[in-house]
Amino acid sequence: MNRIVTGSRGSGLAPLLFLLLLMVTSCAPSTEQYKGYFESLSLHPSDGAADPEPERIIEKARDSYGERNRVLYDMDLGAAAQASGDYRTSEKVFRQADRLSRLLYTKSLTNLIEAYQTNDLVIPYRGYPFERVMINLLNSLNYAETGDWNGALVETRKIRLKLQTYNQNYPKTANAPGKFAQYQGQAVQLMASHHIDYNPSQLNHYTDDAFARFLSGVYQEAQVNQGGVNYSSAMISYRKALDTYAKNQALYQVPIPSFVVPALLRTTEAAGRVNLLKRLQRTFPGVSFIHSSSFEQMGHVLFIGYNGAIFHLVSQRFAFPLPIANTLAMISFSTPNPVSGGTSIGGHQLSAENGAGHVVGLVQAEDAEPLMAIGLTNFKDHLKRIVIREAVRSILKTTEEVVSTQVANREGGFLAGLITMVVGDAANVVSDEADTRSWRTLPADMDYAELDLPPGTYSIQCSPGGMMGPGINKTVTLVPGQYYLIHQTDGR
Amino acid sequence: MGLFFKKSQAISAVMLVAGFFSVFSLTGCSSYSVKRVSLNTEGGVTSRWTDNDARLTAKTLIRKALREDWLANFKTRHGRRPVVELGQIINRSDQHINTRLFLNHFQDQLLESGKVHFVTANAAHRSEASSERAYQMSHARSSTIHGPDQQTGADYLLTGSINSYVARRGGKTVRMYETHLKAIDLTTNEIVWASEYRVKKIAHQSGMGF
Repeated sequence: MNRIVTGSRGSGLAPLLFLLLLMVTSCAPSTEQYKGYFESLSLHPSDGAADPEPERIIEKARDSYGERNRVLYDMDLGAAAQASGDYRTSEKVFRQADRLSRLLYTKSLTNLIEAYQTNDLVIPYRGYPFERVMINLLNSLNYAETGDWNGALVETRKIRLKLQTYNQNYPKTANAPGKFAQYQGQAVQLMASHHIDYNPSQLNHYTDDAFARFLSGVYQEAQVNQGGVNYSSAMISYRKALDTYAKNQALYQVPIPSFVVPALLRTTEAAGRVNLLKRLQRTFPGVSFIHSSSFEQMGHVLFIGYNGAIFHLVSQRFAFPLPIANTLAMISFSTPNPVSGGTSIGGHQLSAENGAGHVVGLVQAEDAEPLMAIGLTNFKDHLKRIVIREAVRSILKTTEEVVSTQVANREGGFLAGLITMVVGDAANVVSDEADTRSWRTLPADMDYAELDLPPGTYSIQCSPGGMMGPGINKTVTLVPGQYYLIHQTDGR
Repeated sequence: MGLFFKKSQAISAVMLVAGFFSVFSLTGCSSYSVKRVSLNTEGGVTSRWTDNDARLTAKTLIRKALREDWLANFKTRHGRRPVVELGQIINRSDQHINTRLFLNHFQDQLLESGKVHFVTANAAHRSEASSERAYQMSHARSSTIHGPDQQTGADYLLTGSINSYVARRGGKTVRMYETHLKAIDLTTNEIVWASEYRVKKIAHQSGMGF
């Protein structure tokens, strides 16, 4: 009998002590570095010239990420190295992040079990789908910065493949699939009662990336003169970009950038698609474009601006009563909640002066990638799954605690029950932490502008709209068919 | 009492299993495998283009290039070995492939066969050689000068492309790399030789591991 009682006491306390041990390894990584990172980029917006500060800040925080957040560290370091003008490191690190993220497709059963006893922070971070796509989009700029247009194009091809796979996993169906489908009614009820904005039908909105498609067209045009790619491929990319921008317009309430249609018309003409060109001109009357024969004889200055900071996630706690084993238990759990983020920059103005000091080109950069909106939508597409998982986990943990307390109470007396309850509560409260990891060094949006100029030497100026502060001033000599990329990361 | 004993035993068992798995979590690993298969193999595919693929492709295409008649035909017609120039292999795949390494390997093997001459198509090499000739014109002994207008023009230009086709579902990826090479007669623009080689690979990554 004594042996039975001893065994029962053990069964009550052992799992809870086990939980306490696991809690130690289930904490979120440090976020201190981001403050310094964005302060540095706000004071000194980077134009790709060697400024080691952003990269140094992230590198210094390496140990605080831990092995489970290796992909997150690589994402942050890749973005920081790019802002610092260290394109080689950025490319290498992004490539590594891409590979690791792909390997994490395989979920570790032991990690999942551990996560159900603690929280999602014990699972290696793989990134939200839009973040995984951004690895390649940002990396394509590393190649473009060094003039490797084919390398840049390869990265955009990877995006296409990635999104195809992603859309297979999360099909556009009204009836949400998934392991926890039976709990969805409860999750929906819970989110509705707490006014949580989520995607009710669990559709996947991030089916394609418009800016990646557009850049794919630019990268292809940049190689036409080298004989690498023909205009048909570029035209297809611009068409896909236009379709996706039209979808984004409805989804995120952002206008279709004005640089897309002229590029489409130009490449359609160059590809010899006469009838399609007529059709497009009827659809977009009054849109002028540079004919490809003239375009090929020009040099092209491209500008891409990374503006502000994307949202980050904070933990939000919920509680509701639930009868478990003849006891009314309080179930509490936390979910990630997106907060803050944005930019004060209202686009950029790009101008070119010739040797005589005359302005020969002037263009306004337009929002090409509304990353805040894309990220938030993509996050909300996942929110129902997150809430269900957290609720199930919380119910399981509370059930364990209630049953253990009852067993200890009956077998070991009041004191044993009290100790078990206190330890169990402590374990549940401490381990109740939402997975607030996200790629925080991403910008809030990216804007784009292009100046097409006759061959010659120009002074290129770029200044942020609606803001005082440093801009870019570069002297560029352009030859026919040359593409020159200017890229700025501004933390404001 | 017996009921509680059973309950507590069940909980103990569950926690024991959980603890057992948590030990393994410290060494959590993923499952990933790749195999190279024949072109006739149905189904899944691929992983990335590797140096083995580059070697295998180059070796096969070299064998095909040397086996066919275009080199012999040229020799019969002109009484000498053809002069070949390496153009570029365009990477149209979704992988970063150093096509220059592949072409260099191809060039080395063809040179070793003794059936062709090569002239450089590399702009940097040409520019360097041109500077050296200019230097010789100014500074070298007249008997040793290699002056301008004496370079060998190529008879054929070797060019091509690498394409990839990808299908992916779940953890299974099927990828086929198709390498095309062709020799273009620089006098007539005629394609005198063309060949292709495909590498098909299947990669399978399990969704769940320990």
